[in-house]
Parts: sequence; C-alpha cells; structure tokens
Amino acid sequence: MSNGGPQRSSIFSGLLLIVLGVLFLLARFHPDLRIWHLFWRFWPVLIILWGVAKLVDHMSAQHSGDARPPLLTGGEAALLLLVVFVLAGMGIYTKVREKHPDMNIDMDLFKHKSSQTVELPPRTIPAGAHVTVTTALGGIVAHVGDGNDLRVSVTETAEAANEDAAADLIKSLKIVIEQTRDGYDVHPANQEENEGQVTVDFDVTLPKSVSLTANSRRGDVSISGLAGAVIVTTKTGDVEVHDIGSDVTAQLTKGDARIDNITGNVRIMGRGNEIEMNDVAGDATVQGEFFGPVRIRNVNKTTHYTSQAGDLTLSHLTGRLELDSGDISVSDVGGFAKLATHDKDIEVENVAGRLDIAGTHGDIKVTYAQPPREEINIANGTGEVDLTLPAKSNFEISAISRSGEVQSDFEAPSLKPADNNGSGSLTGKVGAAGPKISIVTSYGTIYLRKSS
Amino acid sequence: MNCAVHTNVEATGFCRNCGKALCPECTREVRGALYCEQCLAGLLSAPSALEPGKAEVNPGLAATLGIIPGLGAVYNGEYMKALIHVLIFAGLIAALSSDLPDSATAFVIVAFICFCFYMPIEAYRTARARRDGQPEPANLIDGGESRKPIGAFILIGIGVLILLGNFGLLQQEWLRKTWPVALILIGGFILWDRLKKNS
Amino acid sequence: MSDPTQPVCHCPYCKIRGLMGPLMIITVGILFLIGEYTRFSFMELWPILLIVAGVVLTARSLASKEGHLGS
Repeated sequence: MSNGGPQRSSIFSGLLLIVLGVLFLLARFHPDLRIWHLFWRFWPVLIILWGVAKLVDHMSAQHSGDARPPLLTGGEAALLLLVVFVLAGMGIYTKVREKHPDMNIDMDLFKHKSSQTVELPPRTIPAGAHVTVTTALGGIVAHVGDGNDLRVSVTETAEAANEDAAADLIKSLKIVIEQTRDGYDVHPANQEENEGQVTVDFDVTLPKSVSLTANSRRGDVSISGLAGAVIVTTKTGDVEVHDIGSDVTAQLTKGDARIDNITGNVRIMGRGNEIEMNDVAGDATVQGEFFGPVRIRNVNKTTHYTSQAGDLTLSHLTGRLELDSGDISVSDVGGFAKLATHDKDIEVENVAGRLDIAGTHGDIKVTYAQPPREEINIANGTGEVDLTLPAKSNFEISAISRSGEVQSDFEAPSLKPADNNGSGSLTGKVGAAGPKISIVTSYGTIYLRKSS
Repeated sequence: MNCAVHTNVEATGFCRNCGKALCPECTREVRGALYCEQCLAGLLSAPSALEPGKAEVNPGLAATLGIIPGLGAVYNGEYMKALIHVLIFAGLIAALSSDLPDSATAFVIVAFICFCFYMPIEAYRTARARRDGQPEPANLIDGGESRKPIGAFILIGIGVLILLGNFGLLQQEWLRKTWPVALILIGGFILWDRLKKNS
Repeated sequence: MSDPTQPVCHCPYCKIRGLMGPLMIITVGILFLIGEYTRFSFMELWPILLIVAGVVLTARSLASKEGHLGS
C-alpha cells in the first residue's frame, strides 16, 4: 500500500531548465546556429513541449496512483515568466547587436585585456612608393622619418574572458608587410576571425616621398608630413591630416576631420561630425552630411560644399566658410560665390566676384566693405534680405518683396520705391554705371543699407 | 524495514506525523494519509490542530516587502532572521567593494543577485504557510534538512573573508586561481552530510 | 522556525530534493575553476548550472514519494 495524496512536482520544470541550459550553451559556442533567431521564430515549440510534459505527468501519475500534478503551479508560472523574459531579452539583444554593429555593449568586469607592442624589422622601400595600412579595429598614426625605411610599430590589444584566452588571441595574430605591384600593404593577417576582440594600432614611420592609404574601421587616423597623396577611410573614428605635399582624400562615417596645410586638393566624403580645414593650395570639396560645425579657411582654388543642407561654391576663399547648426557664414572670397540652401540663415561678407544666393527659409545678410564690382543675385523665400554697401558704391538695383516692404538708405533721383498691394519694390540706379543687383524675396523685408 | 510494534512483520507504510514504520495492522488511514494510532488520537483530541489558525497574513505583501533586506522577515515576525538577512546583504556589498580577483567578484555578484531573489521568495513562502496554518518551510537560516544553521556559517565566512581582505592577506597569486576549490569543498561537505543522514 | 518535532523524511523524493543545494554549490565551484585554468570562462559556461538544476529537478519529479512524511 503506498501513500496517496502528496503531489510530485511536474517533470516540466526540470526539462525546461535542461533545454534552456543547452540552448544557452549552443548560442554561445555555435553562433552560426543563430539560436536566438530560431527561438524568435519557433517559440511555440516550447508550448508543445509543455503540453507533452504535462501529458507525461498525467500518465505517470495514473500509473503510480499518485494524485495528478496540477496544470501549472505557482512556482512553474513564475519560472515560465522569468524564462520568457530572459529569452525575449536575448532575442532583442541579438537583433539590436546586428543592426548596430558598432555599439559596444560589454560588461567590463567579466573581460580581461592583454596588450603587447611589437616593432617589425624596418624595410627599405623605393622613393615614391605607395604604402597601404589597414586595420579592422584600431588607430593608425603615420609620420615621416629620415631615410628610406618603412618602420612599423604595432600595438595589439586583446579582450577575452580570461587571461589565457586573451594571450591566445594575441599569439594567433600576425602582421604582414606584403609587397604589391606599386608598393606595400601592411595589415594583420587574420584579424577578421577575431572580429571585435583584437585591437591593432599601427604607428608607421615612412620616407617623405611616399603616398599612403590608411584604412581603419574603428579607430582614429593621424597622418603628417608626407609629400605623396593621402587617402584615409574610417568608419568610426577621427581623421587628422597635416602638412601633405599632394592630394588628400578622406572618407568618414562617424567622427571629426581636421585637415591642415595641404599642397594639393582635399576631398572629404561621407558622414561625420566636425570638419576643420585650413590652408589648402588646391580645391577643397566636402560631400556628405557633417553635423558638427564645419570650418574651412583659406582655400586657394575652389571650395565645394555639397550636402542636404545646401550647395556652396566659393572661388578663392581667403577668409572662412563656417556652417553651424542653423547658420552659414562666408567671408572674404576672392572670386565668385554661389550659395543655395534651405532653412539656414546666411551671412556673407566681401565677395569680390559674382555673388548668387538662393535661399528658401531663413534670413540673408550681405555686407560689402568695398563697392561691388560684379553682379549680385539674391533670391529668398521666407525671410529677410539685408544688404549693406559702402556709400560710394555704383550699382543698378531691382529689389522686390512679394509680401513685404523694401527699405533703403540710399537715395537717388532714379531710385523708385513702389508698393503694389503689399508687394514692395525698389528699382533704379545709384551713382555711375555699376553692376546689377537683383533681390527677390517672397515674404520678408528687404533692407538696403549704406555704410560709410 | 519492519513495523515498529510488530518487529517481525514487514512495514507497508510510515506514520505521517511521527514517521514510525507501520504494518497493515497498525496503520490507520484517513483520507489517503497514514497515521499510527497514537498520533491519530492526539490529533483528534487537540481541537486547535483541526482548525488551523488563520493569521491576517498577506503573502503577496510579504514578497514585496522582502525585496528590502530584512523587511520580509520582520513582516513575518522573525526578527532574528531579519537581522541575519541584513547582515548577509551588507556583507555581500562589502565584499564587492573590497579587492577580489575578477572571478571572485563575478561570483559575489551572482550570489548577490540570487540572494536578492531568495529574500522575497522566502518571505512569501513563510507568509503563505502562516496564513494557512501550516508549519513554516524549512530554510537555510536555522534548519534545512540537515538541521545545520547554514545562514550563520555564511555570515561567519563572509566576515572572516572581509577581515582577511582588509589585512591584505588575500592578495596571494595562488589564491586568485584556486579559490573555487573552497566552494567545491563546502558543497561537498554539505552533500556528504546529507547523504550520510539519508542512509 | 522549522518544527523540531517534525522528523526528516527519507523518501527518495526528499533525498534528491536535499541534494540540489550542495550540488549547485559544487557545480559553481567547478565552473569557476574551469574558468581559471582553461580558455573557457565562467561567463561562457554558466548555462551548465541550468542543466544540472534541470537534471536534479527531473530526477526528483521521477522519484517515488514512497514513505514520504509531512505535508
């Protein structure tokens, strides 16, 4: 005769824990199986398993005469809820990780860092050679040294769960200097396998005549002193290039760019934060979305700026171009200036050549210290136009505000203000023959001011 | 095993109340539960046993209060246990802020999290038992199936470790690598103790 | 506090139930040891705890409750 009555716990809890444990282990050691994605799609299987477990309980209870275990005890319900939260959390975590591969969600406490610096034997390379340095994770610093040697100093940092694993990762890493058709290629041989875990920082000393291509996915790049051309690409990182004797091309995805003293053309593309460019002997081109302050000074040839905020072309910028969160400001252009923007306030000073401004939404303010000698065309949508010219200027003006007035400091016999149903205008000549000035705005006041 | 009274007859059951082995003759069955005659008589004559006292106890509230160290036990009127809970909690935090090897810190964090779950669950179970008039569940602090006050041992252990750590005696390199052996020994000891009692 | 007059049950169910605690402690210790001496780490191996707990729970639910005492 056996005791009846006391209920056994269901077989479900135990099986659930075992299955969970196996799932987590598989997810960790066989990432190729993409366990969490499978879970996301096949979670009803767990419900089926639950039913099977309950069935087994029922049948074994009948067999041994014990009372039937209940469908769901309090403890089981709590466990189930906890499990659902944890698994959902893992699924979401994996999805987020995939969409933002650059996010670094790590628990530092549980990882161990190990680092070592290695100097590769120097290699003599011919003058004018082309060197490429690539690292998937890490920074690149390049500068010029005496002589004809390529000197590479590498700092490897590995992060792993414990010290031995970190040391293993570093040991398995090899840096190679490959000779290519036109130069040399410096890169780690198998960094991709340990993606995200080994940081390889390069410090490279080059002969001056060399041209360099530096590629980093996550890391800053800093290059100076070369006479040859420089190409930089980085995904998450800042770019700093100084004192280069030829063209500079930089491709960013996230970061700042600082470029100074380039005897050649500069081209910056992609997306990023701040740009600071000074002293460019050739053209300066910025193409893309850069959200931070953009400051460009002293570009000898033509400055091109193309982005969603607007298009600018300035010929022979001796002063500066500055784009801030809501403003564009240009000063001292030796040649022509062409600006087309939306939603920005514009401030322009001293353009020697032809000035064309097309805005849609913002105030435009133009100031000349010297009388204008070339055409000025300003077309605005919703916003004011404020033009200040020296008193002794000679010009022919046609200023129309479709829904606003025109106010002028200048007075001349042929200067005719008019008002047509709320649309103000001012046409006529001031002084002797001078350049044509045309100002049109849809909604806003036009000010024509005189400076002494 | 043989019946406690009729020592040459094979026992077919155990008294639910006192654990005595019973042969078919001695067995008194009430609603599927087996008793010996004495215990059954005792239960019948003690009216309080038939009407379990219902205390005004809310297990859900106990569980919520249990999140705060010691408060769950205080709700259940177990002041000594509350004090021990608070001390263990403080001890774990002190251990976290002292200088431990990385893996030990990880272990303390895990233990800390488990303890934070344990407190409300324990308060809940105790409150529910009190509400239903059942005997309180055996727990780590002052019993458990081996009757050893594990909670007190934990406290002493944490205290000793923190003391040693403060005197810099825990900085040895070998200790960094072999401390989990202590865990295994403790677990093994408890295991051996329970296995011994069970046979 | 737990009832001192309540005898300890020796049925297989309760025996296995009592093993859970010490087994968990031992498993944790073993996992940390493995973490210190091999290239694996506790952070990678902790699901083994779930598996051990699950095994004990499953064994417990399959054990007979013959001779069980108490509620």
